[in-house]
Amino acid sequence: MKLEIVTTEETIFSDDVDIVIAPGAEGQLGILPRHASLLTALNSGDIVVRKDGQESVIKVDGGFLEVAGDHVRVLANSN
Amino acid sequence: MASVRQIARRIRSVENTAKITKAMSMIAASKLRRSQDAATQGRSYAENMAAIVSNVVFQVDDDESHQPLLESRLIKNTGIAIIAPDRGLTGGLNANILRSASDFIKSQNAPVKVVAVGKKSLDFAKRNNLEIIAEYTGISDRPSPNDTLPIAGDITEAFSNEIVDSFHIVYGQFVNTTLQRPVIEPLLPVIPSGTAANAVGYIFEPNAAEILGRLLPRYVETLVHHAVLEGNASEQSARMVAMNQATDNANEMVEDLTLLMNKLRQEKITTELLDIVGGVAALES
Repeated sequence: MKLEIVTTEETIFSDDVDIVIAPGAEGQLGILPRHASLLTALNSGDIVVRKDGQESVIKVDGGFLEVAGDHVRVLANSN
Repeated sequence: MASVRQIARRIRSVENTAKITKAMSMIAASKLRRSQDAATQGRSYAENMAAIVSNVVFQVDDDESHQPLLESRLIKNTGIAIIAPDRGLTGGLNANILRSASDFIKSQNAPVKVVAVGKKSLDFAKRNNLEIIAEYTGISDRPSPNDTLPIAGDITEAFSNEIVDSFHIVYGQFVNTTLQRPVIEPLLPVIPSGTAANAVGYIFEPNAAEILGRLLPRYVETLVHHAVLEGNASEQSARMVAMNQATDNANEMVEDLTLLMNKLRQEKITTELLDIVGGVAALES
């Protein structure tokens, strides 16, 4: 599953990952591969990404998250 | 015929001009790298945003969620945001942007109102007696979202308040260092770029109408921000190339003038020598 996090200024994350946990507008949501297509607004908070047991945390200040096919795209607000 | 001293003075002056244009070209080159990075890196966000908006618009029923930014009305007034540099010395770039703006305005049946970004754009609007909705000058060389948010705000407001019924944006698109193309894009009402056939069917959280309500203003902001970034990169690269050219021309001129000066000096020496030789010959005989 490919995750891409972009802001208006740059791409801050782009890699294959195992799971994405994001602060959705309706609560935390975890996204695993083969998730149904989804579009949600994001609240401010941490996006937790796990890959091969390694965890990384990326802070976002709201934005949108899209799941389509095997792609997760986060349009993060940078300001 | 100019004297040797006049030409020497001329050479010095051209050399000074060459120094200035060289410096300007170098400054533009150093700014260009940053501007170019900003413009190309921002593209990914803008493209993703466009794809998502297009998908959502096809999925949402128009009547069920009334989105003011999607509404296409009868065009009684039309708006154009002209993004042009604050300063000149950019070769043909400014003229090209303003010419395509001018062509667009002529092609419209409805009266055109302007959001002017950049001093050259403002001058253009004033010169052509166009009604100005808002003006922005002195945007920094590294435009941040904070610089461009108010512009997008004014544009959406003019559209929502029915001051204008459609909005276009014109700016210099940065293709590469030697090529910048003026482009005109429709901004409002938002027209989806994709087709209904390959739109993705999403699950929405919280719901489609609310997402769209948040997404559309953000989309307009993104387009405007991106246009400003592209415009900035175009400006720097156009200036760099124009000033490089100017430096080359100045150097060439110095060479020509130096050649002319040496020829003149040689001629003067030759005539003087002939005079002396002639004088000596006259004395001896």
